[in-house]
Amino acid sequence: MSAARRLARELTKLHEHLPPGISVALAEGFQEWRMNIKVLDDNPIYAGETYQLLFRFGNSYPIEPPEVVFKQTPEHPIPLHPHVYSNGIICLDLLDRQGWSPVHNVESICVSLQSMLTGNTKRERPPGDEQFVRSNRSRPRDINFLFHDNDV
Amino acid sequence: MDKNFEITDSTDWLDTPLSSFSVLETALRCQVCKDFFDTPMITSCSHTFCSLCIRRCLASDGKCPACRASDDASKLRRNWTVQEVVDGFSGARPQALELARKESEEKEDQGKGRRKLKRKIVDTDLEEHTSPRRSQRTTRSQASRTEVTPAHAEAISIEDSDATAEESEDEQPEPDDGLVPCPMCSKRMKEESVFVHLDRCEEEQKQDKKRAAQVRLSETRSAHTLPQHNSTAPQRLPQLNYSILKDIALRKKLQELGIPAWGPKQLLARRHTEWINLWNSNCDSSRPRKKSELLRELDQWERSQGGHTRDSAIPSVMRKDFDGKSWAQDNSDQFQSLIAAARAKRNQKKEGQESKDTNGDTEMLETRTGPPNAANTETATNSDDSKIAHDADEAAVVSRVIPDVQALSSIRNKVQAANDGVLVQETPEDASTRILSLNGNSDQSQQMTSVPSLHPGSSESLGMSPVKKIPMFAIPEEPVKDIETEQAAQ
Repeated sequence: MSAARRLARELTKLHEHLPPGISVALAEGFQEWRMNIKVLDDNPIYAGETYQLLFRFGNSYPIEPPEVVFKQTPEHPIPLHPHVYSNGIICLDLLDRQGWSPVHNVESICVSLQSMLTGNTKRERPPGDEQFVRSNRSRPRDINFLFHDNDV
Repeated sequence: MDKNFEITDSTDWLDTPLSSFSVLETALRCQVCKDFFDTPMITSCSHTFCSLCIRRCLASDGKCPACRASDDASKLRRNWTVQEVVDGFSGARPQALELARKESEEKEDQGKGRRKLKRKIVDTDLEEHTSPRRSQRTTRSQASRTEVTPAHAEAISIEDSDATAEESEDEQPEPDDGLVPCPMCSKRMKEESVFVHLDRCEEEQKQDKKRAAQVRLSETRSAHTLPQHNSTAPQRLPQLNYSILKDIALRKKLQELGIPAWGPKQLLARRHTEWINLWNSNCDSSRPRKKSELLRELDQWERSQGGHTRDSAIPSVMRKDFDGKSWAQDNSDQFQSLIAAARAKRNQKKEGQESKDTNGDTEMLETRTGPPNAANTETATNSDDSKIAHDADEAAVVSRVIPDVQALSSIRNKVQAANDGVLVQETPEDASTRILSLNGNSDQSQQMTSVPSLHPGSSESLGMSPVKKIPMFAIPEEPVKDIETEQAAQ
C-alpha cells in the first residue's frame, strides 16, 4: 500500500523529469520496472551502448531496498565492470540492506549506477565471476556481498 | 485503499510560473513516503520525517534514513512548527496551483493572440478615460492579473481595501453630537467626563488587549494541546526484546494488546513491531484515531506484508528473504518423484482403509515435506553448483521445521495413531520405494530398511540438528500421506 503510493509518486516524477541518459523502459504495476541507462561521457568501455536495469520492489519498499540487476536482452548487453557479474548481478552497498536508505529512490539508484560505470577504467569482471555465475541460484538479496572497494 | 489515490507531487509546479514553489514543496514532504509530513517528528540528528515512516525505518535498521546516524524511536520529538507549515501549505496548495496553472494557460494564449489582446486593452483605456477614478482601479487590477503570484494579487487587494478604509476615515466628518473624543482611545464622550475617563483609559485598554490576546491564544492552541490534556490520552508502548521472550509469552502480549496472535514467533514479532509503530505514531498525532482504525491499518499490513501475503502462506513461515522459486526449481525432480511414489502408494492404500486423517491441513504439509526433501536433494544431487542455494535453503528449512503448536499436536496425534499399528508396516516399504525412485540405487535402499536410521543419518550429514529434536521421524510416511490427501483434494 505505502509502497504502491510511493512508487506511483516516483513514476509521475520520472515521467515529468529525468536526468540525462536515463529513461523508463517499462513500468507497469508496482512490482517490476525496467530502466534504460546510458553512460554519457566518452568512456570507451561503454560508448554507444544502452544498458537495461531490472527493478523488483517488495511490499516493504522503501524501508527495504529493491532488487536491482542488469538485464541482458538482444539490444542491451551487461556492462563490463569489476562490480558487475556477467549474469547482471551488481555488487553495490547501496543496494544492500546495510547501505540502503529509504531516502534513495529509483532515480537516485540509476544515477549512482550511471556514475559507477562512468568512473570505471577497468575492462574486467569481478574476481571469481565465472564460478559465481555458474553456481549462483539465489536472488541478489540473498547473497551476502563483502564490500571492500571504497573507491566506487 | 486510501480515500483518494490522487498523486500530488512537487513537480506539479514546474510547468507553472511558480516553478520555485517546487523546492518549497519538496522541503515539506517526507523523504521516505514522499508525501506531505504526517505528524512530523524530529530525530536527534535534526532530520524530520513522518512519525510512522521514521518509526518503521528505525525499527528496521535503527538509523536515520537521511544521514545514517544511529537513533532510537524514544528520542523522537514532535515538530509542531513543521506540522503547522504543512497544514497551511497543503491547505493553500490546490487554489494556488489552480491559479498558477490558469496563469500559464493565459500566457500561452497571450503568446498566440497578442495583437488581439492589445487592441482590447486600448479599447478599455478609451473607455476608462470617461471616468478617471475608475481607470485607476481597473489598471491596478489588471496589473494584479498579470502579476505572477497569487500572494501578490492578495496583497494588492488588501492594499486597496486599506486605502479605501483610510480614505473613508479621513473623509469622515466629526459627527455633530456635542461630544468630544478621548485623546487616547478616541471614544466619544461628554466634555466634562473626559478627564475622569483619561485616568482609567490606559488601564482599560490594557485589560481589553489582554483579554483579546487570551482568546486568540486559546483558539490557536486548542488544535494542538487538546489531545495532550485529554485524560484518556493513549500511552506509548514500549519496545520488546523478542529474543528473550518465549513464544507463548509473546503470544500473550499480543492478546493483551488486542491484536491477532496467530502464526509463528517471527510473524508475531513483526506484527508487534508494526503495531507499536502504528500505535506510537498515533500517540504523536495531534488528531489521534480510534483503535479500530489502527486495527484496520494493521489488517492492511497483514495482507501486504504480514501473514496474509498473496504469494502464499509459505514466506511468512520461513525466513523473510527465502527464495521459494529457486527452491522449487532446484527440487522439482524430487517433488515429481515423490508425487509419483505417493500416487502408487495411494492406489495400494485405498483398499486398506478409508482416508484416516481428513485434517491434513496445508500447514502441516509444509512442515513435513521440508526436511525429507532437503535430505533427498543432498543424497541425489551432491553437485557443487547447488551449494550456495543449499545454504540458504537449509536455513529456511530449519526455520520451517519449528512449527506452531497446533500443527505439532495434530502431528503427535497422528504419530500415536500410527504407532497403534495401523500403518507401521507400510513405513519401511514406503521409504525405500521413495529412495529407490530417487536414486535408482537398490543397495542404499536395502541398507535403509528401517526408516528411523535413515533420517537421522541423512539429516546429520546436512547438519540439521533441529530435525533431530522433533520426536517423530518414526513415521516418515507422513509426507506421502499428506501429498495424497492433497491430491485427493485436487
